[in-house]
Amino acid sequence: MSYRAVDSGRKDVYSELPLINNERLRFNGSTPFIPNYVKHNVTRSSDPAHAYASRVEGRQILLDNPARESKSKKAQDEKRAKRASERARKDAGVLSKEEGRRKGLWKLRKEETKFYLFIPLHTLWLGYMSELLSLSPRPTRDVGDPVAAMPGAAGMYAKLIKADFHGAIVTVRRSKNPCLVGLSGIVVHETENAFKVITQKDQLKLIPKPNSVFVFAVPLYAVAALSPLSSPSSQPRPTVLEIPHIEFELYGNHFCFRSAERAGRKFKHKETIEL
Amino acid sequence: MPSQGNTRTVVTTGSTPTQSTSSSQAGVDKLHTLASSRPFTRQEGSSLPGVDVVFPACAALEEALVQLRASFSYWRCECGLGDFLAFAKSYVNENALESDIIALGLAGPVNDDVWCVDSRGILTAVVGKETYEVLGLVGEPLPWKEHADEHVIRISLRASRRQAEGFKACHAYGSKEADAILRWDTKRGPWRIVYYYSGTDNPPLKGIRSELKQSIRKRDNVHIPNLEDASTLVRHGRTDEETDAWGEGMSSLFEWIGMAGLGSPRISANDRCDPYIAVYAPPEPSYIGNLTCMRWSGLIPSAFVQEIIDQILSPNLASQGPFIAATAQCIGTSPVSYLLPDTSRTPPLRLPREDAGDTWSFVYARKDGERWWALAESVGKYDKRWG
Repeated sequence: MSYRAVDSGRKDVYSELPLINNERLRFNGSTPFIPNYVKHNVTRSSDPAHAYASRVEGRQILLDNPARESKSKKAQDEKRAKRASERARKDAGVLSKEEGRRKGLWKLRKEETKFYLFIPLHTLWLGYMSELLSLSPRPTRDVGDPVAAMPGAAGMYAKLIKADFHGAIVTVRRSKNPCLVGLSGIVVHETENAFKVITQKDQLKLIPKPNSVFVFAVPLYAVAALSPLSSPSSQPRPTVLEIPHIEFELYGNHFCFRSAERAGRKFKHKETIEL
Repeated sequence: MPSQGNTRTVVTTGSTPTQSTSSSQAGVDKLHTLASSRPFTRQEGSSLPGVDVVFPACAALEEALVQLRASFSYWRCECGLGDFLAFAKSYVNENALESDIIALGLAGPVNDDVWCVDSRGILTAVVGKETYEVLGLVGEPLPWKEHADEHVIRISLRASRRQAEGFKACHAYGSKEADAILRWDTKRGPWRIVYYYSGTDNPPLKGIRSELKQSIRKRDNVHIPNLEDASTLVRHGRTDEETDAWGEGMSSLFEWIGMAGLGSPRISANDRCDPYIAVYAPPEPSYIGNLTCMRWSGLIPSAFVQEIIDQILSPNLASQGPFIAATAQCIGTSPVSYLLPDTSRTPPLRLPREDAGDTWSFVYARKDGERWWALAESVGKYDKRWG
C-alpha cells in the first residue's frame, strides 16, 4: 500500500515518517487556520486583527499544565540547599542553640560557680561604665557629701538602656514573685527574658525579667579598668556597692530584649510601669 | 436563719437537763470554748461595745457579775513591727500553740496593711499589692475577685517551724523574715499597736496602759421577752413551717437582745415612734419589766470573756433570773477573728475592714433546774468561715 507524499513521490504507508529536525512548522497556505479562527471568534473587540497581533501572535501559550517536578528532584534540591547553608554556617563558625546546649557552652561547672571569680568581670564592667558615662575621676580632696558630687543623670539613661550588663551587679527590688525579692548577684549571662547571676553565696540563679523591677549601681567616680598584667593574687577589688555609687531602677517588663538587639533599638514610651 | 444581704448567721441551740448526757455536755462545752475561739474582742477606736450582758433586773446576778473585776489591762504603743516582735517572742510558747500575748497593728493613713498576733503566737498580716511585691515573703491571695491583689502572710514567732499540717502555710521567724520586716518598717514607719499580755512587768516599749471599762445601765418599763417556755429555744419543729416559725422567733429574740445591749429606745414600753421612721414590735410573748445591761469595753482578752461566760453558766446562779444574754463583737480590722477548735489548722480567711461583721450572741434561760441556751454567730461578707 502506498500514499502520495509532498514531493509527489509514492511512499509505502508502513515506512517511517521523515524527521523534522530544528525546523519550525511553517504555514504555507494564504489562509492559515488558527489566526483566521481566532480573529473570527474575537467578536467583542472592534479590531480583531489588532487583538490577534498584540495578544496572540508570537506568544507561547501552554495548552496543558506544565509537567510537575518530581518529588525526588525536589528532595535533592532541598538537600543541596541545606548542605550549602550548613557549609556556610560552619565556615562562619556559628553554633546552633542545641549544639551549644549539648556542648555545655552556657553551663558553669561547680568549681567555676564562685562569686570571686567574676569580680574581675565586674571590675571590667565598672571601667566600661566609666568610659560610657564619661565619669569624672575621684577628687583628691574629700568633698564631704557625695550627693553634691552627683553628675547629671539625665543624659545617662539613653546610654544605659543600650549598654551591656554582663558584669553588672543587679538586685531584685520588687517582683510579683516574692521569692525573687532581694536576690542579688553579678550578671554572667543576659538573655532576652532573663538574667543569670552569681550570688555572693556562690549560687547561679536565673531571674526572669518580666514582672520584676531591678536595681543596679554605677560608680560615682571613674574606675580604672583592669590591666591585663594584674594577677589574680593581687588584692581583691571592691564591688560597686562598696564604693560611692549611683543606683538606677530597671523595669524588667520594658527590658525584654537581647543585649545585642538593644543597641540599635528605639524604645517607645510606655504608659504604665506597674508590674 | 434567713440571711440579710451578705450576712450569714448560724444559730446553735442546746439544753442541759438535770441529768446531763454526752450530747448536752458537748453543747455546753461549745459555750465553754466560745471565748478561746475569738482571740480579739472589741473594736478599738469606734463606739461599738465589746461585751454586753443583758438580763431582767436581778440583784444577785448583778452582784455576781460586778464582782468580775476587770483586772485585765491592755497597752497601746507606737513602734516598729520588728521591735514589737522582739518583745513578743518571749511570751510565745516554743513547744505548743499558745501565747500569752495578743496584739493588733492598726492600718495607717497611707495604706490598709494590718497585722495581728493571735493567741497561738502566729503573726498574720494582710498586705496590699505594693507591700507584697516589696516584702519578699510568700503569702496566700485572698479568694475574692475584688481583693485578689491582697495577700495573707503568716509567720510563726517560733524559731523553728512545726511539722503539723496547718503550719505548712507559715514561715518561721528567721533572718529572712526579720530582714523583710525591717525593710517594711523602714518604708512604712512606726505602727500603732494595741496589745495585751499576761506579764505583770511594765513592757520595755513605751506605751499607754488602759484598763477595761465596766459600765451598768438600768432601764425601767421595757418590753422583755417571756422565755418561761424556754424549751421553744431548742428547735423541735419537723415541718418546714415549724422551722420557719422557729427561725423568725429566734431572729426577733436576738434582735431584741442586740437592741437591749445598744440601749435602743424602741424596746421601751412608752416608745411612740413615728412609724415612718421605725417600725418595731418586740418578740411575742413579752411582758413589761426592768432591765439591766452591763458592758465591758476595751481590748478584751478571751480569758476574761470566758470568765463572764463561766459566771453566767455557773450553777450557783441557777435560780437567779429567767434568762441572761451576752453579745460580743469581734474586731473588724483584725486579719484573724475565729480560731478553729484544732488550732494547728489555718483559720478561715477574711478581709479586714472597719465595718466587717463578726458577732456572737447567746441567751441562757433557766426554769425548774433545766437550762436552755441558744447561740447565734454572724459573719459578714468577705469571710470564708462558712464558705
